[in-house]
Formats: sequence, structure tokens, C-alpha cells
Amino acid sequence: MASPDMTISQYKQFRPKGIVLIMLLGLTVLVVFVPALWGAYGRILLITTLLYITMALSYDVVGGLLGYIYLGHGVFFGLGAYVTSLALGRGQTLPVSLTLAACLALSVAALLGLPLIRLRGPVFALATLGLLLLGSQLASNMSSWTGGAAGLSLPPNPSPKLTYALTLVLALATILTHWQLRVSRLGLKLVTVREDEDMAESVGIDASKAKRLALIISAIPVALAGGLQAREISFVIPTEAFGLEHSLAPLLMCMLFKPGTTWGPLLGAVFLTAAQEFIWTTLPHFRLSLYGILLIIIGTQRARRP
Amino acid sequence: MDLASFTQLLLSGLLLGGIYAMVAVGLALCFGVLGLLNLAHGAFLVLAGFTYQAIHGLGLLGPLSGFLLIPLVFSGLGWLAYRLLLQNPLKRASEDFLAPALLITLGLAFILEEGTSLVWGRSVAGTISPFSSLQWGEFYIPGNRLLVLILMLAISGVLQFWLTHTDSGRRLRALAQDPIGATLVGVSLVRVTAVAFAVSTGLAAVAGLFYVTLFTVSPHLGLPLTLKALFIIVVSGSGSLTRPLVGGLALGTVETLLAPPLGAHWANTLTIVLLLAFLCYRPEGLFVMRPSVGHK
Repeated sequence: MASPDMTISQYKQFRPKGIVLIMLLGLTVLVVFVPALWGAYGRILLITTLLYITMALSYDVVGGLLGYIYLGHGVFFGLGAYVTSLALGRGQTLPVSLTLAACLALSVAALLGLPLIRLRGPVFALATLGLLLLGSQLASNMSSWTGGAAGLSLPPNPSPKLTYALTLVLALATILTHWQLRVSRLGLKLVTVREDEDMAESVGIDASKAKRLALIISAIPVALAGGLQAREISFVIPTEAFGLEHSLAPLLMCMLFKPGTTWGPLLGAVFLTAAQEFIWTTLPHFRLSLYGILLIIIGTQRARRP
Repeated sequence: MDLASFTQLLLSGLLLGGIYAMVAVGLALCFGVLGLLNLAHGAFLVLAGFTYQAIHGLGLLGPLSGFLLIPLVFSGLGWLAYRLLLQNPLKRASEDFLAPALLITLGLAFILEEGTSLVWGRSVAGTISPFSSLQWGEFYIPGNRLLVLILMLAISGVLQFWLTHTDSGRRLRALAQDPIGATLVGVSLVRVTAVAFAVSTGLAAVAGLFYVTLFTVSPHLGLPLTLKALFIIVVSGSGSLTRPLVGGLALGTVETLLAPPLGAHWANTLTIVLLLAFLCYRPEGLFVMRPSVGHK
């Protein structure tokens, strides 16, 4: 077993690389071939799953490794969705638009990180929830740009295959990044800060810097996911893009199994997609309640942890 | 802007602030005093508003009996919610109970919100207020908003009296100051918190009844309203009930005064920015449990 006084390279040896590689390979094969076999429904379901995996794993950097209750994930989703839609609407190609979205997410995360790292615990949760509200208001207020509350419509998707491929690449890249990050110096710093922030600082870890980096690393994939979703559905409105759902779903997926691991959020994402699909097809009016029940279960579980 | 219209704006701002203060004071009883974050506060408020409207529409309850009965029922609901959902997790989590409380009450908020929207649909216009407006010189004062403000002051007074001059209020303050010490001298954490939660939910219901007579209520209003109230508590400093009262009045005034030059949408946005900025500037304002409930 891993013990506290191992070096990073010793610690890395404990990780079953083979299993993960086979899992990734299997996932890739599955994802590449399923739309051909399953048609449009399979395609949409898989895109949703892949976007959820991206969102869950990028959330985990702040919500799992760093252990904060973070409700601002949707801010970057909305940001990505709007930037991509605006760029696409002005005739840019999808890769260029996504690059723009990622750059903007990076700078906004770096800026927002400055005040946010001062906050801890529930204050952090509240402030990030406030940011989400702010994002939605800004999107509906700046109506000359964003089309206001009515939202923006995009021209039809010229190459659905490209969107699909980029979604797959993004999900795989996020999984690999998370997998590497967990045992990197930064990842271990984040875990140390989670366990005891004051202690971490007293042994020389720059907690503020680590937290800012975590925010930035978590913001970029989710902004790209927002952009890809906007492209896929060709439509973006403030209440949906900056909706609470894009902050809560990642939280649920991350916390459901084992936050701070790669497989936990991954499994959570698959589970939540399946659960949502089931609810949607059988009890369409109970989607929020599903979130509510999962939140109550997670909260109760969290209290049980020593 | 001339002086008369400025005064009129100031008056409307204070009267709007009365409603904010009413939401915030109810929440502050749990959050500010006990440190128990209740994100379902707004959902309870909205549910109470809809319930009152439905019962009132059926002609079953007059305004007065509705205003007496519904808060009582909601206090019972709050007590039940605490006993069923929060009591055991919070007892187990002993020290770090903020995160579980946040998650559980957020879940409860969603279930209540969905329940409300399932029964009553998207949005319901406010009921006709039973109180007419007053004319005072050249100023116009909506009667129900004035009533909110007066009732608000009265409720805060009663609550403050309860906290400072009764045994159960003293138990609550003892718990807020030192949970372990209070438990050692025989204060029941569970029972006192349940009472506080029940009273807080009852106050949410009172605020909901007024809200539905003043504004349009939609089932999805709960969380934004909770958030606003939480910000008021955070910014005005926790541990007391008079501070959120002042904070609520201030927020209403600022929002109303900013509306004419900026437009209502931007005024709302700007207040969020201001609140966030304050939160980041003074994060420690939140959980400093100043033993100041009633002490001078």
C-alpha cells in the first residue's frame, strides 16, 4: 500500500497503468463505432456522456482533489458556450472558436482566482454560486451581443463528425490530464491542502498558488465542453448555459463515488447520464428531484466521513 | 433628480428592503446565529406563497387566518425536515457540519421547487393586497409594503426578546457560542436546533405570504432569493438579528436608487457585483461568531 513517506516516483508505481489504458482504448473503440451502429440517438447519448465525463473530471480538480464545495463550474461552461457561439456566428471555424473560448476561460479563471482563493468552505461555495448568478445576468443584460434572454441561434452544424471527434478527444485528454495530475507535485499539493490547509502552508506549500492553478486547470476543459455543447445543439440561452445544472451535475458526478480519484467521477458521469436518461424517458417531471435526492444522499454520506 | 422624487425613491427602497430584511432575518436565525446554512429557505418561502394563494383562491381562509395558520404549519414542516433529514448527519459530522448542511438543504430546495412547480405550474401573479396605499403629502406609500416594514420591526423585536430574555433563547445563544460547553451543561443540541429551524421556516412562510401579495412568484424564485438573503447576512455580519435587518433595508434602498440611472436589470447585476466584492474583501465577516446576540 501507499505510505506517507514514499517519493512521487515510488507512489506512481502503485497505479495500475495497464487497466486504465485498456479502459481508455475500449472507450475509444466503443465511442468511435457506436454512432454508426446506433444512429442519432446513440450519438447524442454518447456526446452527453463524454461532455459529462469532461465536466466531472475537471470539476474533480477543485471539488475532489482540493475538496472545496465549488458551485462556479457552470460559469465557465456558460462562458465557453457564449464565446464559441459568438465566434461561430461571426464565421470562425469550430477549432478557432474553441481556442478562443479556452483562452478566455484561462484568463477569467486566473482573474477570478485572485479574490476567490481568499475564501474557504461555505463562503467559497456561496461566492461561486453568486458568480453563476452574475454570469447569467450578464449574458441576458448584454443583449446587443448575446441576444439577451432569448439567446443566440447558430447556423446549422457543417460537420457533425468533427464535433463528435473533438468531444471524444476532449474527454480522453481530460481523463489523461486528471490521471497525470493526481500524482503530479501539484496534485499532491492540492490533496495536502484539502487535508489541512494551515498545515500545508506551514510545511511550505503555497496554497494560494496551488488553488489558483487548480481553478484554471478545471476551467479550461469545462469551457471547451460548453463550446462543444453549444455547437452540437446550435443554440444558447442564459438560463441554460449559466444554469445551476452545469454546476450541480459535475458536483454530483464527482461526489457520488469517490472524489479525488479518476475512476470515481468517470463512473459518476456514466451513472448520472444513465439515471437522467431513465428519468427523462419515464418520469420527465422529476429531474430536479433526482438531483435533490442525490444531493441529500451525498450530504448524508459526507457527514459520515471521519 | 429633484428632492421629491429622490425621497419617493428612498421610501420605496426602504419598503422593498423590508421584504429583503424579512427573508434575511428568518434565515439569520439559523445561519447567522447557529451557523446552520439552510439553502431551502427560499423554497419554503415560495411554497408558502403558493399555498396561501391557492387556499385564498378557494375562499377557505381569510387573509388574517391565513397569515396566522400557514406560518404555524410551515414551522411544523421545518421541524419535520430538520428531524428527518438534518438531525442525524449533523450530529455525526459534529464539527464540520456546514458542508453536509449545504448539500442536504440544497437537495431539499430542489425537491420543494419541483413539487411547487408540479402542483402550480410555471408562475403565478401575486394576489390582490387587502391593504390600500396611503397618500402622505405628495408621497405615495404602498400600504402592504408599509405593513411589511412595521411587521418586520415587530418580529425582529420579538425574536430579539426571545433570544435575550427567555430560557430557550439563551440555550440557542449558548450553543452558538460554544457547542461543547453548552452540551456539557445540559443544553440539547438537537432539540434547540430543531426549534430554531422551525421558527426560521415559519418566518420564511411569513415572508412568502407577503411576497405573494407584493410581487409575482415563480417556483424557481427560491434559490436566487435565498442567495440574496445569505449575501445580506454575510455582508452585514453574522451573529445578530438586527444587522441583517439593517442590511436588508440597505440592499433594498441601494437597488431602488440604482434602478433609474442604470435600468432595473443592471441595478440588480451591480448589487450582485457589490455583494461579491464585499464577500471577497471581508470573507472573515461570515463565521465570526461574535457573542453579541443581545449583549451590549
